[in-house]
Amino acid sequence: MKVKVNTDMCEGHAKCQGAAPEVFRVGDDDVSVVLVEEVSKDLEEKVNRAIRLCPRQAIAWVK
Amino acid sequence: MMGLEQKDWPLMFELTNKVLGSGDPEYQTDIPEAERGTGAAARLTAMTGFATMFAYFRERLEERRANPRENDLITLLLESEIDGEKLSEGDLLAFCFLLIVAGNETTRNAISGGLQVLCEHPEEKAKLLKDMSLLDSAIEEILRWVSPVHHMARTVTADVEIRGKTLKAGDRLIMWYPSVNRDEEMFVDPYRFDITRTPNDHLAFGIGEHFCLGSGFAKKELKVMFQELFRRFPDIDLAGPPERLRSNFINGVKHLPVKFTPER
Repeated sequence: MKVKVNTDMCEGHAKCQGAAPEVFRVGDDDVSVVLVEEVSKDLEEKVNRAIRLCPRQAIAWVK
Repeated sequence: MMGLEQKDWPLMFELTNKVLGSGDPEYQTDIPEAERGTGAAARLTAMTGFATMFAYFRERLEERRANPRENDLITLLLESEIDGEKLSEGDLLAFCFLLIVAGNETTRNAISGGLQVLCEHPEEKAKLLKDMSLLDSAIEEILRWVSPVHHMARTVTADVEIRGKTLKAGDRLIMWYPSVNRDEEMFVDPYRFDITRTPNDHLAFGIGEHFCLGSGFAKKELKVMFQELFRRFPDIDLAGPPERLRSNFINGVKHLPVKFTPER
């Protein structure tokens, strides 16, 4: 599965990085970047938590 | 940040109390004493606070129009454009009002409420004083525990079913933050104050489109305040019962008597 951050909405609160540091990193520009092409099965739960915690609800699975 | 003169800060404090604490007789100072504590007194107090603050910021906008300043939030708002259009006078005033009101009442009540809960849980306070690296995590727990804003409202935009309850488009909802932050499904032992709680996915700043604009700044203010307070007055403790704000919107502490050994 792929995951995407809507960079127009992202405000750099870094909740996603806290929930799934393997998948998200917030750079110095305060925008979260997805680090992996495909999210491995064992990280899906962490990414779901990141999606839930994102203050701006800017993260979504790519269907 | 807003470049307001220090002599005006007490006025901002007073007007914020009138607007957000309008239901509390202590702030209904424009109402004859015998008539305080009623709904009418609350409405009048809030209106007086609004009107005085808008008049104050109308003057500040005039000043900045005549003399724009550098690194000044009000000047920045005046010069900002959305899709090529400047903000209207009403939007500018509402923005200034919101920054002042939402930017002080919430954070200062998280500070007073935080100090109260730490003093009421001496073992947690001792843990923090022994290891101040726990402060970030303690602040999250303070935010969960205090939930400085009691509620916000939303209007349902489309019919939806949540946990067996049907909500219809147009329905009005109230989201109670102290309740959501004590959700047994989200928090283990939610009524325990635990400065090392992990995970601590509280919603004290809301979530989604209207997530608190100042959340990062608020946490920074809380951190600096508690760092300095406990560095200078490590033995600070309650000296009497807190006086709480009468409000269903702000979880406020009006007066928190404390005792401590003064710095030498």
